[in-house]
Amino acid sequence: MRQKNQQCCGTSLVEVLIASAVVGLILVCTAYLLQSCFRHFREVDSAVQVHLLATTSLARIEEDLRHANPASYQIFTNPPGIVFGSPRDNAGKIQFDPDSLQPLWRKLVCYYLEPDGSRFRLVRKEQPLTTIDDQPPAVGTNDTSHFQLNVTGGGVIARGVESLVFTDGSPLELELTLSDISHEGSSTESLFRVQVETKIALDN
Amino acid sequence: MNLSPSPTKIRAFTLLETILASILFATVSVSLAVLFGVANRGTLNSLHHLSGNALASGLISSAREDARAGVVPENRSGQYIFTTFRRGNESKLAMDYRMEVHSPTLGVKDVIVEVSWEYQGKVQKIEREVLVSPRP
Repeated sequence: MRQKNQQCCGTSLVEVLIASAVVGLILVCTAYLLQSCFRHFREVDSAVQVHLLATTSLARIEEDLRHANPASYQIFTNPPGIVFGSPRDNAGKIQFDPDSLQPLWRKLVCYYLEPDGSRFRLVRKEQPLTTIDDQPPAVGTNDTSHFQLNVTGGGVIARGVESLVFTDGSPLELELTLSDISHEGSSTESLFRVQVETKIALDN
Repeated sequence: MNLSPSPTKIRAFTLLETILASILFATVSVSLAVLFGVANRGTLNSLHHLSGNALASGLISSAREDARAGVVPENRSGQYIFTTFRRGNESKLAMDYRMEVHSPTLGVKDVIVEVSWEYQGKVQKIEREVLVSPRP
C-alpha cells in the first residue's frame, strides 16, 4: 500500500532540473530573438532613411540642373561640387526674352560638400546675377570655395554624404554616395551605404 | 520493516512521442527559416517600392514646377542606379523612369509617370498620373 503511494507522487528533482533548463533555454532564445528583431528594425529603418535621402537629394539636384545650359556650368574638386547658371527666379518661375525667346538667366547655383564629422553634408547655395539677360552666365571665379566662404544663406540638402562626383559630358553624369552607421561604437555596429547615379541632359 | 526507498519506476518517451516531437521541432525550425527569408525579401522589396515612389513623386513635382515656371512639361526618360552595401554584400538595382505628356484638352497637360525595375525576375512598376496646367 505504501509503495503504491510513493509511485504516484509528484515530479522528481531531475525532472524539475530538466524542465527549468528547457524553460531557461526558451527564455534566452526569446530574448535573443527580440533583441535581433529590434536591431534589425533599427538597421532597416536607417537603411530606408539613407535610401530615401539619396533618392530625393539626387532628384533635387537633377531638377535644378535640368534647366542649366551645357556652356554654363563648371565642376570643382575643392570642395567637391558644381556651379551652374539657373533661369529660375525666387518664385521658381522662368521668364523668356520676348525677342530671342531664350530664358533669362537669374542666378548661379552651387552644390558642394562641407565636412560634417567623419563624413560630409551636401549644401546648396545661390547667388543672384548682377545683369539679367538671355546669355547663359559664365561661372568664372565663382567656384565652390567662393560659395562656401563668401555666400551666406543656402541650405543643407543631406547629411552623411560620403562623396559627390560629377563626370563631365553630354549627358552629365552624377553620382552621390550616402551612408549611415547603426549601433555606432557597439559590437553590433553595421554600415549601410547607398550609391545613386544618374545622367542628366541639360535642356536650356 | 523495510525502510529503503522503493525502486522508482521511470517511464521513457515512446517512439510515437519522439517522432511527433521531432516533426514538430523540424516544422517550427523550417517555418522560422522560411519566415526569415520572406521577411528579408519583403523588407528589400518595400525599400525598392519606397525609392520608386519617391522617384515618381519627384517627377510629378518636377512636372508641376515646370508648369508653374511657365515651361510646358516634356517627355523624359532616364535611369537611377542604386548600389547598396550592407554587411559586406553589394547589390545593384536599376530603376528606369519615363514621363509622358499628353494634351487631353487645350492648356491642360496629362502627365503620366512610370517608374519600373526588376526584382527577382519580375518587373515591378509604379505609375502615377497628374493633370497640370502650365502658367500662360
